[in-house]
Amino acid sequence: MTSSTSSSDPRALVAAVLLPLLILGGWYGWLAGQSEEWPPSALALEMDAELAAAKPEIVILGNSASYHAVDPEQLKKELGIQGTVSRLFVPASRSAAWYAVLKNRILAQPDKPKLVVVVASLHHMIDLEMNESRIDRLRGLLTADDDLIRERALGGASWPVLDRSRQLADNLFEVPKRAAVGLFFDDGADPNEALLDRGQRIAEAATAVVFNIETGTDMSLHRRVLPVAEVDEASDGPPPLDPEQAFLAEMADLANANGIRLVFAWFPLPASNPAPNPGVDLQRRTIELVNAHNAGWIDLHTLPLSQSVFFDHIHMNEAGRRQFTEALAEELKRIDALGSSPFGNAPLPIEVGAITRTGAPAPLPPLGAPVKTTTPCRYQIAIPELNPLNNKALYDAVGIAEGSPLRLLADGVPLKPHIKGPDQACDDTYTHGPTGILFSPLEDKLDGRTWTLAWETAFPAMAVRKGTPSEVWWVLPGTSVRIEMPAAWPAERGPFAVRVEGQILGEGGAYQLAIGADRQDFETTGTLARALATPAAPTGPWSIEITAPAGSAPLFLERVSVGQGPTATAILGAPSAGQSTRLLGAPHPGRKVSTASPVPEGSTPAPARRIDRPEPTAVARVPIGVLEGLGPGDVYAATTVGSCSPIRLLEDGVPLALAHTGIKEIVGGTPGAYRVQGSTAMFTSSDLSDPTTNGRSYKAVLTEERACGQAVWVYPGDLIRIEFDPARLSPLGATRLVLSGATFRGEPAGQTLDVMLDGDGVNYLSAAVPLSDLASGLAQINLDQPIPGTIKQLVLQLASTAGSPYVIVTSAELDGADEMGVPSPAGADEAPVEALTTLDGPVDLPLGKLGPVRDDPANVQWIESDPGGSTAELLNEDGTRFVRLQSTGFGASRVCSQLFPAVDALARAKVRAPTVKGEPGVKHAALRLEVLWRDGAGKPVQSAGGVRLIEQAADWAWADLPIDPPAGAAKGQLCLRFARSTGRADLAVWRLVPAGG
Amino acid sequence: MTFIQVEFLVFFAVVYASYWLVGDRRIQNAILAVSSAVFYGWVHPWFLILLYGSALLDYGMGLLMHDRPEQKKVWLTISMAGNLGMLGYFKYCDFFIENVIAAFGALGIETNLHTLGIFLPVGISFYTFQTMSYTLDIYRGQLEPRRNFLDYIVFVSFFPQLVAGPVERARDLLPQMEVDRVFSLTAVRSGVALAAWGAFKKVCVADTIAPYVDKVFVLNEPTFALIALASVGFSIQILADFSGYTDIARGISRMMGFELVENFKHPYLAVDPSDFWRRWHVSFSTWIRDYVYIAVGGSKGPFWFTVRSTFIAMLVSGLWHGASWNFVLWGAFHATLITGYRIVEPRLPAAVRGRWFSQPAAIAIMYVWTCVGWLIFRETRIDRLLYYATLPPLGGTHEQWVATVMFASAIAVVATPLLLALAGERWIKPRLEGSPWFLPVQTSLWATYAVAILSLMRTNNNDFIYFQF
Repeated sequence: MTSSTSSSDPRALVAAVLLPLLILGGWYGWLAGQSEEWPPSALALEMDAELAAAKPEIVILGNSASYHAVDPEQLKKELGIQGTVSRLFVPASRSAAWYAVLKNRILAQPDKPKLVVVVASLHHMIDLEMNESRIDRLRGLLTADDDLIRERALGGASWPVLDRSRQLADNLFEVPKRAAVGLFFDDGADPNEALLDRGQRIAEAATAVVFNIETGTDMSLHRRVLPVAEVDEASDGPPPLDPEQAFLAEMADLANANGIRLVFAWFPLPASNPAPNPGVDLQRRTIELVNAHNAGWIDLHTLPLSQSVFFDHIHMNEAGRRQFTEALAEELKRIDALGSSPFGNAPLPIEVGAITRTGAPAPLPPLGAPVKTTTPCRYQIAIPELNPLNNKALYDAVGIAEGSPLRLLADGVPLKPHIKGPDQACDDTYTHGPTGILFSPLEDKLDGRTWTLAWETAFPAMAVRKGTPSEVWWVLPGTSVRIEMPAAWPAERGPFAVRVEGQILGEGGAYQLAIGADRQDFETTGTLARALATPAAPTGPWSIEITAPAGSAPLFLERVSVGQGPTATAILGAPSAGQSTRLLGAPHPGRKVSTASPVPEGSTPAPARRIDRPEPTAVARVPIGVLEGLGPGDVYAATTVGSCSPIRLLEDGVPLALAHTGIKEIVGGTPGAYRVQGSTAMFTSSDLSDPTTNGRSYKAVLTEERACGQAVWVYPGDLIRIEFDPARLSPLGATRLVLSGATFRGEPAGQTLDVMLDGDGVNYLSAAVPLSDLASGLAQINLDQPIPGTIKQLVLQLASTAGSPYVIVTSAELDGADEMGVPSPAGADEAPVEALTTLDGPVDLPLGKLGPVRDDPANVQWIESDPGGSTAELLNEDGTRFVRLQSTGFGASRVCSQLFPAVDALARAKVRAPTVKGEPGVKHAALRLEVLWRDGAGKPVQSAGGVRLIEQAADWAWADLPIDPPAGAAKGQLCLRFARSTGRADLAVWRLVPAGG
Repeated sequence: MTFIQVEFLVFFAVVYASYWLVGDRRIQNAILAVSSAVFYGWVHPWFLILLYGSALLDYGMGLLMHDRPEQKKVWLTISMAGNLGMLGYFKYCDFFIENVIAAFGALGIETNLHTLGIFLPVGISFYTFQTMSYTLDIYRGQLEPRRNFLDYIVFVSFFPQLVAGPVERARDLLPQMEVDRVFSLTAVRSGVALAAWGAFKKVCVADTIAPYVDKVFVLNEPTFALIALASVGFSIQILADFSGYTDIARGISRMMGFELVENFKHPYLAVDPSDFWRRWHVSFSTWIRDYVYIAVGGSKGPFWFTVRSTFIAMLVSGLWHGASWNFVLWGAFHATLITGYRIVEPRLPAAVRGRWFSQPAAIAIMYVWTCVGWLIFRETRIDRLLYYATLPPLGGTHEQWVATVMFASAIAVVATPLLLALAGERWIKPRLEGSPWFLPVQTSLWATYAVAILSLMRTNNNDFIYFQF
């Protein structure tokens, strides 16, 4: 090794040593000047003030997720206490901060609460990870140095360095920020206010609005945009989870020593949360720790909350808060949290052993001879007795794709199930479709092979649910599914019960549920089979056995749960909130919407302005004045029901004919066509005269028709009455009403929508629903009393005050009748054919269902699928039903609506096809919309016209067609097919519109 | 382990002391090999299997190319397949599956495919490219294969540049592994200066602006001004982050007697798109140039051929940065910029050439385009990018404009040291460098960096952005 140095001036060398020492020494001196006082942070002062002012009987403690999960006023009401409930939360905190709050803020008060409830996910309770912001916040919560926190949370680090760094960072960024804002913005609130103070005030106000976590941000956008999770883990390892090293035991000991009851409540996370709940071992260790230190434990993590009650991956919205608070109150009462007796031991997590299938499935019937279809390399074998098990039926029934339990074998060798259906590749694949087994043998030859059916042997089988692989638990005829439970039922888990719920695909049978020796039959309602067993709680290892007898249809298990109430544990399937009845937002034949309320005033008639466009048609604009914000674009942006703008344009008091049409119609010279955009309506006059010179007045008003498709408008000051056909209501009744919609023109905060629900003369609900709930997308209201399933008449009334915003209710759903529930009665999808004879407004025909294709008028199906290779399917994605027409040849396939009466009053037919794609390489897809008429005997009746080509993307949103039933026509049928091109179209709505509608 | 950790300081102190104490080159290399394994396997020791697997493969193939040259194409193919296969599996497999599912979905076909949740090993993109350069150079006859495995493995796993570059060429770094090193106080001083400045950039610039940038990118409805500022903020963040890492890597390497390639040469002073790539991530861009751009034909051919080569190279470059379509789009964006400039540049009027404003204007214009590119790079969701494009340039509520001013002030704060450093480098350093008083200035600066770093360092430092690539 050799070395080299460079020569220097000795004075420079001394300076080179002294100067940095001076800097570092100065810094050290600055740090050393750190006061030993522990000034509370603004958050700590807020907590102190809250505790001093409220003197709460109960304190809810946690982080922002806890804050959003509990409503103090509701909790107080639910618990029936006189004292107050306070929420203390430290953003993004973990147990160290909660311990600090308990020790330094809560216990420092002369009046201590009776109960402290730590509400958090289990992950947050036992996560030890500390970061700078957590440390910053922790520091401000302390009143003195705390060895435990310093050692365990900071690894022995020194506070002065942390404090000073915080000050430095503050000064570095805050001062320029305040100065810049103060310089650029002066709201004149206080002429004597210093620049920096003004800057701080305005900046804080703006920050609260722009970066508001609940309304302004979407934390999911963080995903993968910066150092990704795997890198964090790669560098630092996963966040440490350790109940013993968290501060749970210390909190419990501290609370007990000061006569405070402490309860830990584990709340649920939405499916979108990326951090899974800790495993059974960590759960057991945490609960054992809590039990050992005499704290209360509430497990609400399986509370069935839908994703929609969370506004991000962890925080609940108002609806979620209401549901969680209710459940929390129930549990606090159950464990007597406000009492004085020691908490009993909380139940340890339930362990599930092996899940196996026993017995040999009943043999399947022999197959008939394959029939070659017109498609090359495709053969079909009809299996009518097993048809209910086909993939499409299964998808419609339970949302599982590719889940049929049948396998096709050639000479005993299974073929490969095709993901969609056998194609023309002769690749030995098969599928189970609505018409039977379809398969593609090698080389397009049957080769004398023997074709047999077998049950799927894999257990559980794999299928696809909403694009995600999913385990499928079939109980095949002649077999049992046995779930081993290795431990006795813990008495702390309350009453013992086992619930099983499944779907029967086909002819049912005497399905049985056995808990040890206790055996009972399933109850079946329609396709639903369910069983509830409540034998004596097992005192040793036990088992659940579900048996389908030979000769029955297979049972598709949807849910198996043990225990009762909100803490029931789901072994298979997700916790279920029960089946529902859609009152609004779905076809509900027989629904009548009426009101006697006057319509709010529309715009002031104003002179039309000519639009400077090259088209020869006299297209003009007129301001819509006070109705701005209610245009189709506004409505679509808030609800995706774009056609539902309530604005109508009057010409000398008479409505123009074509509301909210496309620009093409307007500039193309359609008389009386208009479209609202922003603050104006673009339109043509009824006779195409120039609106700027024809002397007529134009005024925008609101339609008196409150119903719009499946949605309902509630104008300010309205009282809307909606009646429902009892045949469409769930026989199980309901306990909850879920509303969603949107508000327009006006601030929803502080405003309410009065909702009343009456059935058979009994009031089941009378509530004021905050419009902010609707604005956030969902409002869930528990009924004042459950609606029985035997109800004969149901009326929903919606009322708003004169000053409230405009409201559109796009969905109203009754649910929660029973944990298991049943679907709506069969036939709910039937078309309201008869209702058309008294057509008094636009009517949406049901989208339809698939059926065999034929011209036989007695067998005309709602969707016609040409055997030439094209397909039409009824799909349901993300709760939206639509028909997908996939055409591979010109005019080869079409979809048609159900037949409807040829009523003279009908003026237009409309379709909505939001997605239309040409085949690859085709830029412009075109669809052909037409009406096919038939006479009373079902024979085709020729009609002049009535055909419309839809070419432009703008048209697909809503395309319409004049209807004029020809002489002799008794029924009509709307049909859509590809023209000039092939491709794919998703049809969402068939609509019939009467004259003036 | 990362450079900005107390553990690293302890680790490096131990390694550095023992490294110079032993003196013997072979033992020094053994120390480097062991310490690199400790550094890389600190959290996930199994990552070492991949690292050594890749190294062994290329070591073997390099020797085979030399010993059995008649089949060297086969050995090269095996090397490439092994490295790209590993990279493809760990980095792109899930991305591929996601897109297959999406493509089938677009055709209306449901699949039962699902992603595998593959864990991305840190630095895999860097070391696979580095070892590939070894076999490629041997194949091209530009490098002799090494038989001393210790020297070779130190080249592959050299901890200062293992996880985030620079992507060193074998012909540059390997020879340095094979010669005795000279301890030099000048080199130590220079290395400390580089590493201290790098740490300052990482902690005090990149990590302090990062939360501001993040806050804008999670806004549901940002304004155009906020997004534009966020792109500017991100341009500072990524430069400070990446060049900070490189400077630390180069600094500590220099202290140990190695010279790594200079990776950043004031990229935001680039005057055109090609110039940008001569200044940004130089080790990688030259790798792409030599092994992709030239390999697919480069500019030897008609204009369209050059365009094709440019697009291929830049798309590979984009995809290398991450398994996401926005990175591909980013590559295409830069390819378009380069091509566009080639078309426009000859047509520029003489009036704008060589004038006093020409260079500043070119720098400003190129910086704006660079920021557009960073927006594409930072925002992984294409739908959000399209949304940003529709925002009115001057739209925004009062509160949003206040937030814009706040953000601008934060950017000004973090940009100041970078601008001061640039000015210092241009005007002060040349005047002081020969003077004995340069040393006290330098040590004072180091002390200032230390104070700033200790004051601003967060326990949850963002990882170096390029770790994910």
